[in-house]
Amino acid sequence: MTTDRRTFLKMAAMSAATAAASGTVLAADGVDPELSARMGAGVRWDKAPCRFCGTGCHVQVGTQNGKVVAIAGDQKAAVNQGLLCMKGYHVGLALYGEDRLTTPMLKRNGKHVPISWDEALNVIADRIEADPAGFAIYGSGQWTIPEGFAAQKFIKGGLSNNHIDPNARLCMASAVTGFIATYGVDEPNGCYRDLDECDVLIMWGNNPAEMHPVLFSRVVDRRSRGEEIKLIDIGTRRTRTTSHAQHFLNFAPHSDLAIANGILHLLIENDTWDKEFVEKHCNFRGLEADKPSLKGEAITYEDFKASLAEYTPDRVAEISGVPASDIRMLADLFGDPTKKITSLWCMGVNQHTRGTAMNCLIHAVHLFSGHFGRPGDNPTSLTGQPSACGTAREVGTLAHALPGGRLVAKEPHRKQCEEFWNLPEGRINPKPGKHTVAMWKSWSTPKAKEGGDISTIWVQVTNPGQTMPNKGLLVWPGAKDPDKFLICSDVYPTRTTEIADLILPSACWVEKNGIFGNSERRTQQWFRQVKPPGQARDDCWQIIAVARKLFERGHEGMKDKDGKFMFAYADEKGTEIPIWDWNRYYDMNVDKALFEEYRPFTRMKHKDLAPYDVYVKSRGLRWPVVEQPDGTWRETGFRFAEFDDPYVTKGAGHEFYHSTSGDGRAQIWFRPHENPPEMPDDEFPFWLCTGRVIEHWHSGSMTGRIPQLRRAMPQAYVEMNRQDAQRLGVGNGETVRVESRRGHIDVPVWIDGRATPPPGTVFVPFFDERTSINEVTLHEFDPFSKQPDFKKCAVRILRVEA
Amino acid sequence: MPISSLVLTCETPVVDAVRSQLEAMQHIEVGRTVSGNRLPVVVDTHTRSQDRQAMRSIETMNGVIHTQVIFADFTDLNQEST
Repeated sequence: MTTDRRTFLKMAAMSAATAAASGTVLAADGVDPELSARMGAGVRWDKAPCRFCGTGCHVQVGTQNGKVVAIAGDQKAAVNQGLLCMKGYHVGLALYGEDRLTTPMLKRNGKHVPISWDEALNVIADRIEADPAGFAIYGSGQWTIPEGFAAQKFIKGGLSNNHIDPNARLCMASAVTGFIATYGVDEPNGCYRDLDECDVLIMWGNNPAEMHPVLFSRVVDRRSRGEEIKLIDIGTRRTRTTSHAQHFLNFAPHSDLAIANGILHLLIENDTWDKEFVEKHCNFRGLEADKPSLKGEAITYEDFKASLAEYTPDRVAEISGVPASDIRMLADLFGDPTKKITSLWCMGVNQHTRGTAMNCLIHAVHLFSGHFGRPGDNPTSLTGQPSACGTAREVGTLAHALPGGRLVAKEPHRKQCEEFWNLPEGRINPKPGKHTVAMWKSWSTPKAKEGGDISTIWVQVTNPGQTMPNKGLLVWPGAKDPDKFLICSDVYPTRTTEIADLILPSACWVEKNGIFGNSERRTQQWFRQVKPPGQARDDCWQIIAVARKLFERGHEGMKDKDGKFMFAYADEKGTEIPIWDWNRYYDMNVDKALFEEYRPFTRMKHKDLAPYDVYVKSRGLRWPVVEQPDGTWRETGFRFAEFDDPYVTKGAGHEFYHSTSGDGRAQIWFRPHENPPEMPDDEFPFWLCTGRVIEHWHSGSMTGRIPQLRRAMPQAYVEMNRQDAQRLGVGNGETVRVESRRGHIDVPVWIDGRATPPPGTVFVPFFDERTSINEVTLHEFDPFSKQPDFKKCAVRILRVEA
Repeated sequence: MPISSLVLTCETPVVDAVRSQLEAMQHIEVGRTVSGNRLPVVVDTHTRSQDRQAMRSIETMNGVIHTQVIFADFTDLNQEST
């Protein structure tokens, strides 16, 4: 780089930082004009949401000569206002690892050999024709909305077996069941504005300082400006978030339900619950004794009170280890109607064998205390992936779901989908498909044995070879079984491509058109800005091309009721484009066609989306997005609240218009504390918690190829408490074995590092493919959400002799 | 080597002290203070290890509450990797 260019860039960089620091929007296109000018006329800028977490920050992507050359925070984006975290500003480099997959490869004689795309499509079609009922797709919360919609249509409307589930099952399924059990409909009522207006922020098993850093900075910035905000970290280990919090409530793993019940108990004892709100807007609910469901059964206030009687502060302190005074402090805050309280939670609550129950209890605490429905006063759950909400939850790429909040088990819902898709009546199978753990367990069970009916799984945009729990049970047996077949579409070699029989090279992020839906119901669109390398192709095209191959072979499921191909689309002039031919795929905007096909599905649950072109002009809009008399489209920040939600009846104040009890009311659940399926004992005396780190995205397949991030966090480790390390005679950097009843890994010890677990607890991140902690974790799951618990199992720590 | 720009959010009473410390560091340029406690900073290093070291030093500096990266140019890295 020449000195002049370097000087220019430094000036541009300073200009961008100054603009972001002052929080001003300086340019219509979201890029500081000085930065744009300094980068030169040859650099083209365009918007895209970040590829990584569920926050949904927008970046401006600078491209030149067919490559991404710069990333800047998008100053027009409401979510991040020009700011990015360390992963976000490196996101462009995720495209340029040296070992990108660029050609399809088939395993022959134990080796992956290059094959043509046509051969690859034929291999998949052969597998489907040989066993259509045993073919499954395992997708992702990183699928774009059109990708998920196409996969959903292919499996449920085409193959009619419902075996499609996303990795989002591992991260937010319990949030979904919690929302549905409480409000009758999924996804948060609040939004990120809660962070700007709360007086108290309670983080339940949540570490936003590392996992959602841009969101957390909104709160930290407020405090730095002199605003008083109380931060309460309810966690099982000290993290970066703890260092910002005034209160750290260190609870024993799995005892969070007792804490929530302790708050509810005190709200009754202190007579500080919000009687007016509860009487107008809520019912009390308990689980049915015979056949528990998300609907539950009605209980009275007296039943509710009696159930909570045992959760006295002293009893809760005994269960959780949190002092009774801190339980009282929480109850006093919730009992104070003048305070605005926002609760945040994510994996700590969701990856929990009692995840649905704990989600319900957070909502219950807010509803019962009336801390609901005002900006800053809401239970606001966060998601981990960029489109866990938009794709997995809204498109409904879950084994039991159909688009727009519909269920495969409900006949009217199936009929509606068949009508929308112009399919023959009865095409959609009424039996839910296999959820993630069941799907992989079936794949890892021999075909001849009962339950081994899944013969082929096609993985897209995720890495289950690293991220599935208890891999010794769910992954490795299938990988070794010659009757089982694994297809993996990915960008880089991973632990999954390693065991795949067929590898398909995929386009990544701005190498394709896309639409994500973030944690606050914000739908975000972007255009392809560079071409993928080699023969890498869009995941959505891959699905459509396989469907076309089957159609050409005469597969009835690939036809609509008029005999037309199920993915037949025309361009803006009405000319049908053969989009299954890669050379023609971008002759029209397939994303737009799929999105417009999807939009009518969204209205049943009042998750209305605007036309595609409206999103092109925005930095995302939060649904329901409703057309105004003047033809503009209005987004909704706060659902169920009359001041903002157009679907609330005038004069109602609040209305839960999808209530499971059919009376416009939310459900306040009682759910008891119960012990987890595995706890430390003499043989395996430590609790193991797993999770992410700020530098890496999930399994590290992208961030591990970004030099700065790899160098900043090169390998996994086990965080230990100093007392435990001393007792075991191990020091910082020494390798130890972390071993459970299921498997083991060897990793170096980190004491007093970034976070500090209490004695008896260890933490291992899961990003490192060389030391995959999911050899060790437990696959037990929540009975309602089917989400496994990655946060708790019993392990022992052994010294490894050099 | 990449050029990065950051916004540091500082404890208001010590923002000038943080500025002085930053100005004394190599590879770092500090812009004008914004909103009383935010410092725009550019990091321009010769080697990757210097870059990493500079970032770490900034993050752990007393009085720095929060660090946010705003911009990164990695044209050079792209050239290296292709």
